[in-house]
Amino acid sequence: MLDLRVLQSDLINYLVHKKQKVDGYIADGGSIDKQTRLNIYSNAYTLRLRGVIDIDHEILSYYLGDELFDQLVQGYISAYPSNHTSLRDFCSNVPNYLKDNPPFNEYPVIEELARFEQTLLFAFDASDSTTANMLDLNKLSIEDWPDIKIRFHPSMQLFENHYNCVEIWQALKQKRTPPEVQKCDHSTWVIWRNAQRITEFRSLEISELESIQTFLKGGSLSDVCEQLQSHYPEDEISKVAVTYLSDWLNRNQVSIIITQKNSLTSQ
Amino acid sequence: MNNNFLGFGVGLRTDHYQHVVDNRPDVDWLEVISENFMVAGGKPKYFLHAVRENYPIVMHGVSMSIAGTDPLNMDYLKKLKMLSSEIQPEWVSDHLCWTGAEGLNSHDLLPVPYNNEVITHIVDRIQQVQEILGRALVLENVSSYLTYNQSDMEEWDFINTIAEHSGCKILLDINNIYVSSRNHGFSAQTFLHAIKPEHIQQFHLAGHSDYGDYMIDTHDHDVPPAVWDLYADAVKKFGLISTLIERDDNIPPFEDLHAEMKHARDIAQRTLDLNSA
Ligand SMILES: [Fe+2]
Repeated sequence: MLDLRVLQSDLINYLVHKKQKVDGYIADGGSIDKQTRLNIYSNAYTLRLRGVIDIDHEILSYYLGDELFDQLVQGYISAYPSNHTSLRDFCSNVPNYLKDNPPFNEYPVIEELARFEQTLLFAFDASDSTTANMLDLNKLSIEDWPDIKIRFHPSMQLFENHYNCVEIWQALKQKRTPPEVQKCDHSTWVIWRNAQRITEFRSLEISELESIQTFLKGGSLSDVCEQLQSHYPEDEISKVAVTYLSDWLNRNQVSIIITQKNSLTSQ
Repeated sequence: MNNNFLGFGVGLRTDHYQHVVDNRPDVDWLEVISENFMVAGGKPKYFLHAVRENYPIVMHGVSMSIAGTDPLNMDYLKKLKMLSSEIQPEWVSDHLCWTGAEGLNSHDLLPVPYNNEVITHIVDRIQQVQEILGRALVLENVSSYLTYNQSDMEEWDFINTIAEHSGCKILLDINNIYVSSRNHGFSAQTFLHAIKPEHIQQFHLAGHSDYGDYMIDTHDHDVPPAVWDLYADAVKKFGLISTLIERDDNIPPFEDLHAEMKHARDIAQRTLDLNSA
């Protein structure tokens, strides 16, 4: 069995690193020579992985154009050969590769665009979960409200960016010319899968972002209201908080509303 | 022989999920790619459960690396088992090949040398997998483009011996037989006629790309005449075997694959009528 192990080791290293000499394993004969036979496997290897990057990063590939995309494919495949059983994880280091390697690292928006696409992919097949709705909220007696905590839907992600990568993504998705790259101070998007299992995203005001973060950290509605004091006058705070809550509920972003009463059963 | 004849089916691909759920096409069964559903949730899982309500399902995988020399991937096998208890497929198949070594994955279906030492190795691994999954494994012959100097028997004898010793079943890919026969210069008929009927569980039908001197099983074309002819021979020899149209690239509208499936049914019908006449 040692023989098979050595043969497989040599062949995989030939396919992945293109260095190993393996023609000694291959029998002569037939209508094509040994090298052509090996090339069929080695071309298929590159083509397959290229196809995976192209599918997972469709918009990035439009943005880069053929030449740069080829450069990404060649560089990425040799820097991060697949060590996963599933091709689903093959592209997970694409943003890192873009961040670390020229010429891509000169344009940070490229890495952001790739990271945005990966966040969308994550939301696409994240765990299913129950979703809470407005009825669940309205069932609660008003004295329970301040203690409300939230478990968001497993597909919900926050995406932080410093360039207009989402606008570029949107333009390319609609086959329009993308806008010029622009630095933006700080912007955060929330991404989630809706009731129709379609991935949606929208940008967040700082006050809504902080409210989500407070809930994510295990805070309660009263903690959120306290936080909102730095953004809104006292008499508007509860209205703003309830608007956020109902927006999230209506958009399928919430799995469970946790109150002190149901916290034991829903934990 | 009870080979659980399911009829004539189509390989379900992402492009057709919605169509199949909405239109419930008249196909006897569907084959799904196991790995596509080894995800936590979302649309793929939703569609799988929706089609499962209306069709018998076979789970077909591409990552088991049954002929590999890295340890069996227990995490993968666990997920496969979970999916199979969730979906209750008619059977679970993969390929008689290796996909990677030393932790590196080619994501390709790579051939092994055909000799007794390799048979012993593979039979042992099949038995472990069958134990874990609690069911017989079904393994498919792959297309190949090279022959190893370490081979000392024919592919068909290799396959028969593995099935005999491990109790696994064979998914005979008619197109792969044809492609390999052209790449290696053997007779596809010889291969077909050598396989023992008691091992056969299923047929695959697909297309390939012809480069003149060699062929590649790209699965991106209609089933070509030479493969239909070989299929008719297979039906003549093996009788009614669950048959599936497989397309992995250049995916046409579902109706086109459905038409190929009906064509397979017609060929089988005609061949068996002639046989009994
Ligand atoms: Fe096949």
